[in-house]
Amino acid sequence: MELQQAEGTFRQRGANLAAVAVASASALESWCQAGGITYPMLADPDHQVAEAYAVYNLLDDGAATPAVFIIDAERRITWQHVGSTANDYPSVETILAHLPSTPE
Amino acid sequence: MTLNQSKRMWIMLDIGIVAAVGLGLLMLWLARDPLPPQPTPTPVPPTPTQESVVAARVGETTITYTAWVKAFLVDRVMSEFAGQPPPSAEETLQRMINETLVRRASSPPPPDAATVEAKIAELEATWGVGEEAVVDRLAAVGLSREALERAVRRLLRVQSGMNALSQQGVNVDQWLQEERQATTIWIAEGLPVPEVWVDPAAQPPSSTAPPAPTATPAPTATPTEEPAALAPAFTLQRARGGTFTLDAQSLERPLVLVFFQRRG
Repeated sequence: MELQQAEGTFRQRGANLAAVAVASASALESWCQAGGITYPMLADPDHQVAEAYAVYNLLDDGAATPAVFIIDAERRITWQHVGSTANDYPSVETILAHLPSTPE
Repeated sequence: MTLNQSKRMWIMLDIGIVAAVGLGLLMLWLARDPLPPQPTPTPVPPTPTQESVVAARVGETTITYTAWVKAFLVDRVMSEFAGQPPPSAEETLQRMINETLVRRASSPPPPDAATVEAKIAELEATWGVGEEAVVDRLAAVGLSREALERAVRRLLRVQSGMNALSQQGVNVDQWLQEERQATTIWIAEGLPVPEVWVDPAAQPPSSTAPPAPTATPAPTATPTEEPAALAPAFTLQRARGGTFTLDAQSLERPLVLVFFQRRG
């Protein structure tokens, strides 16, 4: 799943993109720089947010489980995919198919 | 009042009575329910397997079923080692609700790993048990040591949050009561409380029938009054500086929120 490339497409479809990782901001910063990531990469070092979304440590690896949530403008979770293995992400096409249609 | 309050907490947590008595007391203190008694969850045989099942909502914050059951089982193990009567599942949930309120009000920083380890070592010393016994006992209820680490981390965090409130001159007792009155608290009814945690993610996918009764369809675990799945609000630091907030006001467009497995 190449998110950086997909970001523009999400934007065209009227949606924003953000990613969360159980890591410190400084650890993620170098990752963002190396990968040319410009969308918000959010640091959740104490996994509070991963826990709130019930995706923390499901694979018993001390990390967030691969997951994608589509949240509408009313903050409702309209679609979600929680991975059952490492790297179990939905394709960009799948995410696009579940984006709410927003008149732009 | 305030001083006594804070003193009491510190005494309990720092003199190692923690292990034997204090932890139990702190848990009970946090578990006290100043509201009219909540309906007691009626046991329902089938087990929710959805990770997203919500046990309670505290304002915008969600306490998941998974987090609740794990916390309850850890509480039981700790009480057992400390020779204390174990809390009921309901008490554990009430405590988690109170902890959420404390954490929300004071956003104490999480303790580092060394502090958590030191506290666990202290607990084990007071309990008079070794690391192995603790791990074994946790394993017997289906938990790893990580569950204990998480519980201790949460406890230390809440402790420093309560201390911060006390230092601001807040009467924590009274504050908690007011906060509970002012906050929308929703508790799921009828969620089962297992004796042993079975990780749904670790269960074989549908090919073999689990030992738990499967004849009855699994509960939807969404009682009628539960609001539609609302994305938990949060504010996190951005890797490249600044913060990102998801709350009722900040969302003008739909958001694709991705969780990466990467650790750091």
